[in-house]
Amino acid sequence: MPGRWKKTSFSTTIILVLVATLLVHGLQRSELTITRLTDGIWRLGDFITQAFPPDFSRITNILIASFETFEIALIGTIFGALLSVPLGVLAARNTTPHKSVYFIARGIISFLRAIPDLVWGLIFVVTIGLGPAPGIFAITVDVIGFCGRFFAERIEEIDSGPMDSLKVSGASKLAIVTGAILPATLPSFIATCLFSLEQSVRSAIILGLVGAGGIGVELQTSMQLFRFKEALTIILIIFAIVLGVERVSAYFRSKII
Amino acid sequence: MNFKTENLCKRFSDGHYALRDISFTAKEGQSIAIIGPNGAGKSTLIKCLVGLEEITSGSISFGQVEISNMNKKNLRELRKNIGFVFQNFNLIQNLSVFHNVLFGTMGRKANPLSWFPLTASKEDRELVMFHLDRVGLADHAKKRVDHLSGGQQQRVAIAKMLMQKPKMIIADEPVASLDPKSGLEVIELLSTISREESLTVISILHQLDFARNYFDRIIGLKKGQIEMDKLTSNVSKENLDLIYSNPLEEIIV
Ligand SMILES: Nc1ncnc2c1ncn2[C@@H]1O[C@H](COP(=O)(O)OP(=O)(O)OP(=O)(O)O)[C@@H](O)[C@H]1O
Ligand SMILES: [Mg+2]
Repeated sequence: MPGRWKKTSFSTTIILVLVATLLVHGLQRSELTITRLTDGIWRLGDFITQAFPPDFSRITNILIASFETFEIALIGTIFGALLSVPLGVLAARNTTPHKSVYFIARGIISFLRAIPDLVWGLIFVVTIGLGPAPGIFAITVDVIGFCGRFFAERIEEIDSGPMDSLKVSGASKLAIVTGAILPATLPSFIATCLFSLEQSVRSAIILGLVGAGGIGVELQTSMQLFRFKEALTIILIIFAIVLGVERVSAYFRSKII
Repeated sequence: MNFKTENLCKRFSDGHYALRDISFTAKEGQSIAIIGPNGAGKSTLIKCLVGLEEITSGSISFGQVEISNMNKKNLRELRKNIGFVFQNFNLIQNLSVFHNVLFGTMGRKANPLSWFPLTASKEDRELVMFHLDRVGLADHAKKRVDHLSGGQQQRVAIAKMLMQKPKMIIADEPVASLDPKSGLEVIELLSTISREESLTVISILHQLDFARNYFDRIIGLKKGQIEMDKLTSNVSKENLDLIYSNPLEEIIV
């Protein structure tokens, strides 16, 4: 018991020293001083006073843009979720046709997930140009990274009985997926998709900042032109969208599970 | 369908023989109970029969065809003719009884539209109700499977298996997780079906009275070998005792 205690305490010390070093180094690098902090709070106050009252004059354009953001999130999530189903089947140990396919499918999912959505957004803006299309692609890829992994793990958890039962009745691969895998996993797949949609809405807003369409573009513009009253309107609308989607999604998820 | 195994051996990758020299012929319409202690190789034997386990040597043939030479496609064709009943039913819990039974057509019908209650043909939907009626559950068609008792679930599984229009039925401990009354109902049902359609039935059982009262023939397995193979009328109590005698005692003797 004492020996074990000593061991843990040793590795804990190393981790603590490491974290402390990184913290000190990071604080020095970012030149985070008390004066800068207080200045920042001051300016935040400035921003808020200048932003009030919010300016609703361009509300129609803003609403159209926010609708675009929602559509980007929705379409991207649907595409991503649909593509995740076959990929998840290939990336689950118990359903993959071959070990090599398993590794390739897992590799694709890990790769897509390892690169952040904003980076995908930048890549697609450069390759296909500004507008909602790169936003949809970025969301699709991001959703595959998330749902693909989740679906594969969910499939690996299912009871093999119903699959065996169909297999010994001479059913095809497609029949086994339809008759044994999907029914057992669909409720949690749908819950995951809804959760994914919540994240996608947030992503889609941010993606606008790099030019991938929607309300993010509007926010970027009004900030750069110092139109803070308009920016506040946009922020309020973003708040409403995110909260609304979260509520609706939470409601449906509670219905399913 | 009649079938035959000859000198069937199964060795697992750990070098252990689960089956040795299994030879027997099942006549069309015959019902065979396979009995034997835990680990005797009963499940392994029937897995070999449907190609879920590869055999190490020997042969298994259905009618004129030998299964070790079969490619995947022919194996699938063979499986379509064999109805398999599992100990734990293997139904989809969150779907309706009707839908589960309809899934029994998945082997026979390649068109995905025929797999769903709304898009299946009228003929198939009527067949589902016909078989549900046969197993006494027509009134429960719309219920979810997880609202049924174990005995009812096994009857649903049998109705599902009948959708295959099987030529033979194989069962691995179909009543092991049921209470005595439900178990009896399920065994009677299997027996009636096999008699009415002269289907060959092979079932693993642990209940000797079921084996004696409802099967034509009993095969006793012990340590991977056939210890006894007799028509039920010729089986004596001594025969059964020998199969279940403690293997440890024998090693000591
Ligand atoms: N995949 C496997 N790999 C190695 N050994 C196995 C495997 N499957 C089964 N065995 C072994 O083969 C033997 C026979 O097992 P089997 O499941 O056929 O027995 P059983 O007669 O069905 O027993 P029970 O009455 O408990 O169901 C056992 O010793 C078991 O440990
Ligand atoms: Mg067994």
